[in-house]
Amino acid sequence: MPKYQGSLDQLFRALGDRSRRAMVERLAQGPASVSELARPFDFSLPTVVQHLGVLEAAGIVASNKVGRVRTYQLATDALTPASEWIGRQRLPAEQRLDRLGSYLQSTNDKETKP
Amino acid sequence: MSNTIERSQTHATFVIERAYDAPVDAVWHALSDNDARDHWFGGGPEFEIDERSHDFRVDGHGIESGRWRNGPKSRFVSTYTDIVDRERMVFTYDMWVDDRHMSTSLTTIALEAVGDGTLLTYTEQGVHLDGLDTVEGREEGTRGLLDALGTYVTGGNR
Repeated sequence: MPKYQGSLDQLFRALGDRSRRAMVERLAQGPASVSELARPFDFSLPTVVQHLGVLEAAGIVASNKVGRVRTYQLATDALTPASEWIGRQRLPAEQRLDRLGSYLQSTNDKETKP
Repeated sequence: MSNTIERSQTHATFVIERAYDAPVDAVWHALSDNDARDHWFGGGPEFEIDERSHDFRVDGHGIESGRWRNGPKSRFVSTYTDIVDRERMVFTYDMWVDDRHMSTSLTTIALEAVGDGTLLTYTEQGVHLDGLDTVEGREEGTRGLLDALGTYVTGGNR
C-alpha cells in the first residue's frame, strides 16, 4: 500500500504540469522524438528533456535510443492506477447513476441489435 | 463495539445531473420497475442480499439489506412521498451500517426530455450521523472501481 501511494504521488506530481500533460497527450497519439515533442513549446531542448525525465521516472513514458535519436512513447497502462484512484472518488449516488446509465445503454444495445 | 460513540451530525446537499442517451420512458421504467431496477440499483456480486423489496407508490417502501463481502452489514429503507408519472419522484431513505444509524436523506429525482435523450436531476439533502459514512464508503468506492471496469470491458459509454 505505501508503495502504491508513493507511485500515485509521483503520477499526480508528473501530471500536475500543463506542458507535461501536453506531452502525454501528444504521445497518446504515437511515439515521438525529443525534437518533435519540443516543437509546440517555446522550451529549450534541455527543458523538454527534463520534463520527459519526470514523466519517465513516474513510469508514464518510456524511451529508447536508436542511433542518435531518442524516441519516447507512452507506457501502456501507466495511468491506470491514477484513473482507478479518480474512479473510486465518487459519491454512492453518482456510482448508482453511472450503473443506471450502463444499464440503459445495455438495454438500448439489445433493442438496436438486428 | 465501543459504547463511547462520538456523536456528530453533518448536513449536506448535493445535485447530480446526468444526460442519458435513452428516452424518458426507458429511464422511468429503469427507476420504477422492480425487475429493471434490480439490474443496476443493488450492490452487485460484492453484496450478499438478505432482504430486498420495492413498492413503487406513495407511502411504499424500498428495502435493500445485506452484507458486503468481507465487509459490514448495510441496510437501506426508503419511503416514496411523491410520484408524478415520468416526471418526478421524491423519497426519504435511511441507511444503517452494522446496525448503526448512518444517515437520513431526502432525494428528489426529476426527469426531462432533451431531444431523444433524458436529463436526470438528482438532488439529495441529508444528515450524516456519527461519521459512519467512512465505514460504508470504502465498500462503495470499491464498487465504483468495479463498475468502471465492468463498463469498460463491455465497451460501455463511460
